[in-house]
Amino acid sequence: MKSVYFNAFVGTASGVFKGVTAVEKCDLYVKNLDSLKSATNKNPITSMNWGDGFEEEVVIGYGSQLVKIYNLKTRSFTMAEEKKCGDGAIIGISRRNGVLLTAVESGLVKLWREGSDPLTINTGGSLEKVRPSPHHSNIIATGGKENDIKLWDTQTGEQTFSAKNVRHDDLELRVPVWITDMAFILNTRKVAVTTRHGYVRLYDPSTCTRRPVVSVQVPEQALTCISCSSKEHHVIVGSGSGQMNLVDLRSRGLVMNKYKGFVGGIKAIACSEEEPYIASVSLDRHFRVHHLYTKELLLKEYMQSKLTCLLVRSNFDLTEPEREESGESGEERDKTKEEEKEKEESSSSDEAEEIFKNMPTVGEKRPKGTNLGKKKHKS
Amino acid sequence: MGKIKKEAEDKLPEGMKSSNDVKNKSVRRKRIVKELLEKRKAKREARKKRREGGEKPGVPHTIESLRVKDETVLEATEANEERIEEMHVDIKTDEFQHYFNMEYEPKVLITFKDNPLKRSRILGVELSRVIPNSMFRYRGRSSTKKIVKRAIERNFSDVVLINEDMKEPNGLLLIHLPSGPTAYFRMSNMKLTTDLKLSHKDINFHRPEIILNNFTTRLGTSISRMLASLFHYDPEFRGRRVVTFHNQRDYIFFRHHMYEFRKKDAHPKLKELGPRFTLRLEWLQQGTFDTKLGEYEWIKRDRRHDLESNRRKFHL
Repeated sequence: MKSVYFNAFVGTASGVFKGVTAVEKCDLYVKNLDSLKSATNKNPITSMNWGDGFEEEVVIGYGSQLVKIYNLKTRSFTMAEEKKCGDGAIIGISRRNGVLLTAVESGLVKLWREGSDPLTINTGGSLEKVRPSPHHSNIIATGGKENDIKLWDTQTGEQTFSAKNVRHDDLELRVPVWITDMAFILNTRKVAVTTRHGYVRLYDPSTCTRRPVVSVQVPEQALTCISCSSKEHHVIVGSGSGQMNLVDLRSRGLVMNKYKGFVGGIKAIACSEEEPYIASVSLDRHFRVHHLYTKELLLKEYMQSKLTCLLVRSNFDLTEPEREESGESGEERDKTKEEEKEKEESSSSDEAEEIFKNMPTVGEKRPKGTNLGKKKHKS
Repeated sequence: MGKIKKEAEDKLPEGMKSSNDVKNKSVRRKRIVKELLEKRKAKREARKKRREGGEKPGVPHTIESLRVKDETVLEATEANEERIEEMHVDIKTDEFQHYFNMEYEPKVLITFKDNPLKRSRILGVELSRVIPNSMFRYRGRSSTKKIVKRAIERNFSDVVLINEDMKEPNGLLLIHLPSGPTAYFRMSNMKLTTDLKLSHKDINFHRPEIILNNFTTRLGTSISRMLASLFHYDPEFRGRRVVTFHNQRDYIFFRHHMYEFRKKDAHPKLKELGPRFTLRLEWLQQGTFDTKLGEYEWIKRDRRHDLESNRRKFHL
């Protein structure tokens, strides 16, 4: 049986898990990957993540602390278990080397290790979001209402970094803390966070400063989500009233591009690591794809339920998938290999491969982006 | 007189292309009127012939009939089957699920902005007559968030807040309890019962029927469910009272009537009871009232030019 190559996955508030094939200038292909019988707004999908390094498994956390794992190879759910821990919905989930991590709203993070006792971390306050670092396999970031950003080592369960609140304001009053989302900046140890009070802050755990190194405000917006963009040192932030901005986090920080087309609050943003595309899901039940530089709305699709979570492949682009994957092949690894061949990279060691992988991406993109910008100004 | 008439019937003198070229004002006028009538008559006859030939009248082009298709209105085709099913699941399990399952009786609190003036106060009183099991209270400097908190404690199912400007009610905030959503409507053309020269004594205490017209899109469905949940789900038909929320071009018209069957097989007679006003949706927010930090399902603010770019595009 031929099956379609999905390049994005969407989780909804009615608990439906959807696979999406986004191709430019084509109708979006959307498929519900689980049945509608169990769908109800009482049990929303509240977090989603890749289950392994190769993007072959998706782990899904629900409002009722149910955890499901979807295998993209066999196209089926391989696990559906309730992982009870504390109160509230699962707001952060990951699975690495067989260790499942779930984080719940009440502030507990639990590591379900096979063969040994689960490790529980109390983050000291309610949580809004927990994200694992994509670069360091055992680092996670936690944050929530009156619970400032903290980094934890999941192997030992120890805290490696905890942020200090910013200085008091002009009236010498304490500034309230409400972290809504965080993103690890590519190839650095820095973490960018968004707050409900409209600030984008950058923390650098490699230095001794516990206060943010950059703090920039998006005026009158309650920021809800953040994602690293393919442009270096730039992040995309989205707000509860449907505003999406590009934020430059160099020097003092700058709020830049505004992406249009939203009528409801943005719930999740995800960017391609290489291509200038931004995918987002929002409460107005639409999935959208914008162009990073031209700010153009490329794709838009109505998806019936309120959308809460989004996951895109790291090589997300809007080109037609070259070949349709069969159920058995390890398509992801093969694809990356092919790309490397195209780029005529031949290196034996893993480190060298990584370096080469990064180099052309940076070189290619910058002139591309600036060209596009100039074109627009001329016209 | 006869001369002029004769002249008017005559053909146009040479060198004149149409009756407009006739120099004499009175003659010109007569000719033009006559031509116009002839043209109209010919058109009417042609149409009559077409109808006799079996041709059906076309659909007139109105803003409604030429409405831009909304993507949230799904056509019942085979390809859309799963999408429609998912939409029904989403609708069925929303925040108003318990009301439509008849699990509770709505209890509504009607309140105002601080220090409401006469007309807002009267509107509050009249709404409390329209909505069964509702009461109006002055808010006494309390914040909206505090009102919500207290209302949840006292088992209210909804809060209606009337805002006013220039001594005239201009906004209606609707908060569904205990977990939202919240909607804000701009209010216009408000007419009290006394403005309509009617008497509030005609309003009986029986629970009214609700009519929700023309809410077609997904957003419209949410709004109509929200408006319906203010009223008791089980109307008392003996009261013959109807409350109508009629949506036309995104304006929601509120009307309150009593009907009567005078003769058998005849149309029922309608008597308006008042009040009467028009609503327009400004935003719909998830959760209870929090305009600053809340998350919106639909908001017009900052994007009016995008949303209202096409006059044939409607959202409800």
